[in-house]
Amino acid sequence: MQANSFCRIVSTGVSLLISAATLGCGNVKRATDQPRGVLTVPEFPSDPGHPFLLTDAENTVSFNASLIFWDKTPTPEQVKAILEHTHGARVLKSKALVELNDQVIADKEAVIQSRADFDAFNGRIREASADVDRAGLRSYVGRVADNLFTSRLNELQAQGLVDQGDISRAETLWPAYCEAKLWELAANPQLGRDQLARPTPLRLCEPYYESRAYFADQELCGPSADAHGKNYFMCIWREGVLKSALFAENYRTSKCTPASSPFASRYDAVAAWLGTDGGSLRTTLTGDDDVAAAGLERAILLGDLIDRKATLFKDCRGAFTRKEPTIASLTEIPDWTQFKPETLLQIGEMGETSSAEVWRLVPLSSSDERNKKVYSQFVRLIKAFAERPSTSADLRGQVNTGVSETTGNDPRSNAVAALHSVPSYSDTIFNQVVGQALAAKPADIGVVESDVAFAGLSDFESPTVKRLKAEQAQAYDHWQAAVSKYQEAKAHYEGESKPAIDNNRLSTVDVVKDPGAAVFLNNYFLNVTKMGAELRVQLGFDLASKNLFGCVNIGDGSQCAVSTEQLGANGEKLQVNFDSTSNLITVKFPLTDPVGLGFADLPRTPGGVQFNEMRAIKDRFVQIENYGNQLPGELRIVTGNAYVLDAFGSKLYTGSITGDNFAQREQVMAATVQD
Amino acid sequence: MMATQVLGLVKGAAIAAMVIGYTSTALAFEDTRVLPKGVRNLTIRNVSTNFDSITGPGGETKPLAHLLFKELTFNQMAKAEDALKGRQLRGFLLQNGINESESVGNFSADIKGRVTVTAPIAAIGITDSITLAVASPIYNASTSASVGFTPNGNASKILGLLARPETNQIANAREAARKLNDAVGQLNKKLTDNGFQALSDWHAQGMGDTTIALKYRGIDNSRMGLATTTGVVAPTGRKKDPNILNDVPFGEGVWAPFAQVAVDQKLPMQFYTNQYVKYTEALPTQRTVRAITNEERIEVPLVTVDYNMGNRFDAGASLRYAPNYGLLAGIGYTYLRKFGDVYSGNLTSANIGTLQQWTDQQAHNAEFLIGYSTVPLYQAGRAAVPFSVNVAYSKQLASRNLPISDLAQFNVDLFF
Repeated sequence: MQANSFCRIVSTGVSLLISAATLGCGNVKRATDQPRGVLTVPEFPSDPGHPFLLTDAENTVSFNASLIFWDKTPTPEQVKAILEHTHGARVLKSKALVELNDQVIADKEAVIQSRADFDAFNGRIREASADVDRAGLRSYVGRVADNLFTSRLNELQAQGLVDQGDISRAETLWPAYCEAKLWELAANPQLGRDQLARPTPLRLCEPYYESRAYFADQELCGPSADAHGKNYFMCIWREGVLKSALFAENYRTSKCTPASSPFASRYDAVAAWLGTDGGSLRTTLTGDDDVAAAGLERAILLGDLIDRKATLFKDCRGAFTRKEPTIASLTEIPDWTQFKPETLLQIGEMGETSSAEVWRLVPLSSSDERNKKVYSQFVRLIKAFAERPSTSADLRGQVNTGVSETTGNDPRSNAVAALHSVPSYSDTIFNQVVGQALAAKPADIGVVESDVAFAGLSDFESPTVKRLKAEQAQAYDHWQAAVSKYQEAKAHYEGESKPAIDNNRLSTVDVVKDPGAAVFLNNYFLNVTKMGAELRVQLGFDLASKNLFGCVNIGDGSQCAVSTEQLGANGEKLQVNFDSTSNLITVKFPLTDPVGLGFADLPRTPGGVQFNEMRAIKDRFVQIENYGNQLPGELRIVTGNAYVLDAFGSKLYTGSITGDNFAQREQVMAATVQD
Repeated sequence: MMATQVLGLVKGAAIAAMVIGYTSTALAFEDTRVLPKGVRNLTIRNVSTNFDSITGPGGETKPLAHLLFKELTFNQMAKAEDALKGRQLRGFLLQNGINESESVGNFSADIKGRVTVTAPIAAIGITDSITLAVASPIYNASTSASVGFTPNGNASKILGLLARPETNQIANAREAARKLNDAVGQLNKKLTDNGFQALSDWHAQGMGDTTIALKYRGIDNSRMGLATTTGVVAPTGRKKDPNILNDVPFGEGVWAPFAQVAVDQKLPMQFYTNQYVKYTEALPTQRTVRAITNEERIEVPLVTVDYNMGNRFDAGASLRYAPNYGLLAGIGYTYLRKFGDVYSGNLTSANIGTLQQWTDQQAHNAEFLIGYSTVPLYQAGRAAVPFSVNVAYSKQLASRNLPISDLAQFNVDLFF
């Protein structure tokens, strides 16, 4: 082959090779871009203006929380069971608080409002009754009241509610009741005020008082001739108390204690204390020294002059001594002695600084259903009488023969009404003692049989008053419906919602204690307080003797000082970090004293609600994440992870926490529904 | 998180095998000709193909990245977490009545590949009936990959359940949302954590397996010709890298002796036909692979195992027209069958089953050729330089377990 031919071949070959290589080039087609969906990332419920949902106004939240450390290999079923219980607890508590707020409290407020609506009619009815023939009305009511006790007994008998024996018993006890009401009025510090007319211990008892010639002295007990009124203290005491069965029949001869008493008898002692204008008794009872007044009031009713506030009367300690013979002599009726004296006048201890209250003023043997039956009817009767709008405001406390004209607007007559409300607190308590079924109810205004006795009252009512009464009856129905709804809501809350929470708590402990699920269970409290720019945190575990205290500056996350006073002898410092973005408080503390901090070795036991089977945790660190949130019902919750860490931050145990401020929140809310 | 792997691209090895033949002939257009003694031939062969789909065991067409079209399940999410957190997630799912086999979203993917091979094939006539040839291809391969993830309603549901106030697992919900929004990144992280390369565009260039063949023409008369070819494929090409999912290997990594018989029939009017059969025996070797299973293809170790690639059978027939003025034209048919690979050694039955599946391959191709050759004119003394140029196109008619790839081939033959 010639050289030029060879070169041609080679050059041709090279060019072909290059062209072939060029043909082989070319880029791969780009793969089609694939779609990438984007999920919305959930946001934390943080509010930088209100760190950890706290405000300056509501700056403290107290959590009760539980901490578990998981076993290494809990089954998904065990995890599920625990999650169900903790989640269920939050839901139950949130619903309970919503129920408490939206049902119980709202219903209670509805009761208050409907009661106010009902009561508002009283004033309107009184106002509408301003032009009533008062003299005629008083005369009428007086006549009715005079016979009301007897007529009421007759009504009860006619209805078969009581028999003749009950009536006899009631008639036997009625004088004692009226005497007791006299004492109740006599011991009232309000008796120091001027009145337009003599207040009555109980209008229905006036026939009894008249039969015993009480209040007979017209100078002391007659109506005030002065428009400013006059004082009836001496009337009640000299014309009432000193004439009462106890003094008239017994204290005239009963000696004082001590024997060296300058008084010849207890009667003389009381008479001496009274003097001509009420003396030391009036000064003490109606004076400015409320404590002394309360002491004397209590002493009179309790019969206990040993009270140190009543030292003025120590020379005759027996003046008001409550002893069986003395009580028995309250009346000439020997049958009174069959009742236990301590049931005649029992005094509720209310403390030295508050007025003593007669809380059971009628003869009552708690086992004597017959007494309950009769006297519950008495109270109903009295209450119905007292609360009748047309008879209460201007007739309560006034004698029907009074000469002075009073109006509902006269403050002094109002004071009379306030002085001696009927029924008294004692009667109310009595109602509670005998049971709600027989208790007096405002409904009795419209339905009580004694209305028959007052049937003539309608003759005094104007059309406006009648209309208002009809409207008041409707208001009463609303009130009662509200009461019923409230009671139902409260019963549901206390009978179902609260027990469900308790049951959940107990069963949660069981599932956590299931072998293999967890190695640690304990409860802790976590108090978080916002103090200006600081979050102060206190934490303590059940079974711990030491609490932990920490403080973090919200702005820069630096630790702020915890006072030595706060730490005290058993306080430990707590490292606190706060992340406002995630609403997270992270606390960390060393287990230098596991026992003192609530991390002692503690095997699980059938009844135990804590256990700790973690090993080698001394000098390790516990770190707890508390993510805050809020559920309906303003239930604040914390959840998060917890860890036991070594010095290098390695996780030795991983745990979970759940907590809430249910107890704190319920306590605040429940206070508003206290009856 | 995601137990998928681009096994489809393992089929790149098959691409390589298809792209460059073992002999100097063009695909179906085999013949019985040999070089005269002392005559040398240099063929520059350029073959290129694009591929983005594959056939399955039943011949069905699937995207090449079909294995990436996977659901992401809660179970896989749980497995991706540490043991305790995974159990907590499973407990949370149980609490909320969610089956952990339910999907939270779907991965989608597209993979496109291109392989270009430039193969210089040198041949020399040892005698007038024996020709020795050596082919050593140069590969240039690229793949482009795009993976996406579309979360479904369950993803939103689980986030909602975690983030609802009474659950108050908002931190976990946010973490889950971030992971789901970055599912592809999580996949790549898992790949890299386990020693893989992240799934992304890939490119490589290098030498393929070298073929050495000896062709002997036993019959050559006016009616027919018959030739046998024997040789061996030497594993000089880069093997499949088990840590690159979308890798295209340049060689099989095995020694593979082969034998072929070809017959030509000369027909009137300068037509002639050819038929050939060829059998390639892959010799056993060892190979480093990932001990994958159908359930887990990423968190698996690298193991060195015994490997016996399936033997291969090729057959073809063609009709060519080669008039004296130099035109070359032809149509042909080829058949390829590669038997299934066999793995053994340090593997479980699950590993073996997964590795061996879809390795039994078959293809039917139609081929077309057109070109020009000065050889007849040169032999007649009417051309100064003997050479030929042709372009061939191979159309895959049907296949099983093979990428769908039509080949375009450009050949330049020089004789000197």
